[in-house]
Amino acid sequence: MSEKSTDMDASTRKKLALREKRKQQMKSKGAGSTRLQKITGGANSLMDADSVLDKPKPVVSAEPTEAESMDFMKQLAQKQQTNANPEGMPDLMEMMKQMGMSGGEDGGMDQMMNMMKNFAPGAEGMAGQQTPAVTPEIQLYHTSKLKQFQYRLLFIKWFFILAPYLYLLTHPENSVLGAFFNDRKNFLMIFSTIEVLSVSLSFAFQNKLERVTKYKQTPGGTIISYLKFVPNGILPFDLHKVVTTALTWFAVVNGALIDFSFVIIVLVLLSYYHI
Amino acid sequence: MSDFEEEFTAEPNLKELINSDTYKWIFVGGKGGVGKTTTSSSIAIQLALKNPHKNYLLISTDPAHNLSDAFGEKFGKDAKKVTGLNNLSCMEIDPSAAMKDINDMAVSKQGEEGSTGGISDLLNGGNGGMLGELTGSIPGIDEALSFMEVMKHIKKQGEGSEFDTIIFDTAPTGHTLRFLQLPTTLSKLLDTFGGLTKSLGPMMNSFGALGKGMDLNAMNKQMEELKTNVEIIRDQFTNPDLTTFVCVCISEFLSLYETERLIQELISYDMDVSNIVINQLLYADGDDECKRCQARWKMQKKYLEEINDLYELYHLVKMPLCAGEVRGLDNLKKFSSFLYDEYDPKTNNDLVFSLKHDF
Repeated sequence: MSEKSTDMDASTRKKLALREKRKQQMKSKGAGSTRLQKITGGANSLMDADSVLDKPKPVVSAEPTEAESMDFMKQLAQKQQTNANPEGMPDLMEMMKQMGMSGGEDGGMDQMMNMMKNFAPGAEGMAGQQTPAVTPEIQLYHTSKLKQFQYRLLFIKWFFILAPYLYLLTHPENSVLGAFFNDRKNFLMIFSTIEVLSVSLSFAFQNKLERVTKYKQTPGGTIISYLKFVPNGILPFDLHKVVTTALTWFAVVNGALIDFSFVIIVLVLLSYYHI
Repeated sequence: MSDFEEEFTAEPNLKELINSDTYKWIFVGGKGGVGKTTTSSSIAIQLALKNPHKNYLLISTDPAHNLSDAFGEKFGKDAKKVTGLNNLSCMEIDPSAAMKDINDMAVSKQGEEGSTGGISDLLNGGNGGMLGELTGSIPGIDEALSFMEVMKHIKKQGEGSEFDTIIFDTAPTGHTLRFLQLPTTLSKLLDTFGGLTKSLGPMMNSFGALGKGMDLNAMNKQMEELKTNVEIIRDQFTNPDLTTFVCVCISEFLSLYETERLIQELISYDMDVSNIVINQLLYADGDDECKRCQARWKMQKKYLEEINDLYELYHLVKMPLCAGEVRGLDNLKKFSSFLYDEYDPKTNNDLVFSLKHDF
């Protein structure tokens, strides 16, 4: 009995020693690439000899330390103050990247996104084969072009269409507008037509821009990007789609309400000065 | 040989794996066409023969199954005992059949609640359902279903599983690596989802009202359970006493290169690899008159030297290329015996021509 247990101990010891030695052999610096080079070199092959073992491992801490949290809050406050983003909202994902915290370039969220890409249609699933994402410069270009168009459209709509129309509408004796446009009963129909046209123009430009930049700006920003992590099939409806549609409609209604506010302001001003 | 040298010399057989009491999961994988199914079947047979008091399950996770062909009897999506070996069962994971089962369950549930008609009927009903057809073609569905099978066994472990060890006859390298990444990916996803449900809880609840009969608490509970099981799997897969990966290769450049890459990937996942089976060796030294065999054996020897050099700390099991196909239980038994007692081309050469063809 004791002889058997001694034998067992010896074999277990040998097994553990071999395991440890293998680990050391593989995990020593540059060993992975050296081994691959040896294989490819021996066969005059042009195959890649970069090893996954030689890539720096992400340092992921589950809980940020107090100092890290403080540092993060400071940077968040600074970012809000500097107002680098036109909307005044800090891009948290970008900040995490800059800070190199979990969720930054070294791993966490990025690594997870990469892994998720491996399961996407057409993905090979091997490391280092991910398709490059849209660069921040292109995203910035896309956003600024879109905003520029929207502001120009708003300016033309307000000061070249709505304001003159409202002026003429409040002066029915004018001969510029025909009977149809001069009829105040038709105001809502004309206003909604202008809204529909401007929204259509805006979406048409957005689609054209998306085709050029290959970047699709999702309404709702980070909320939508977080919702993408909810795996399909868990909820009985497509939450991501529902929220995207709701936010798109919200933006359209929001735009119409702003225009309506402008109409009211113009009408108040006209009634004060001219009527 | 000194004691020190002996301590760092791995035996050229799978005795340690076959005699071990601890392994719960054994993965067998490698490049396509190197003999993964033959090797996994042989390992399963040796385990079953050498440990008659234990029960083993051999699962094929390769979308192109050939376990049935290897054993010469039909296996399906449910575990079925191998005829002639009472403690070994086999199963082939079939994504389309599994999806049809899930679909049928959904349809019967819908039937109980009354059909809603329209698009949902079109998707779920009919011949297997469009949903089943669509999900069957999703990339990675084989890995996901294999993972579901692992989950089932993990759940059963607590209640006393039917099987002591499960052997996986895996798909070629890329698929297998994706499968082995699943626990880590899922774990991270569930962590993120947990954080999201906490921060977006009120919004989720208000959306919950839109969903028909959706119970968010029950969903959270299920997610927690899933997370616990995924973590158990991850822990077990990275425990070298419970899980090991047997690499299968042939003595050629591409196979050697892919084996090395596979081993490095597995080590990066903290998985244990200690056994390598080298198949299809010609041993055309002696009086073999086949010039082609001799030329090929010369090439194999070149890579064998390299393998011996690179993997001196691994159990390198060298298996011969037989004249006939290694199919059927009797042939597999004969062939598999050389995983336990290493093959000697001088004394065991009769194996090459002794395989039966009437399986």
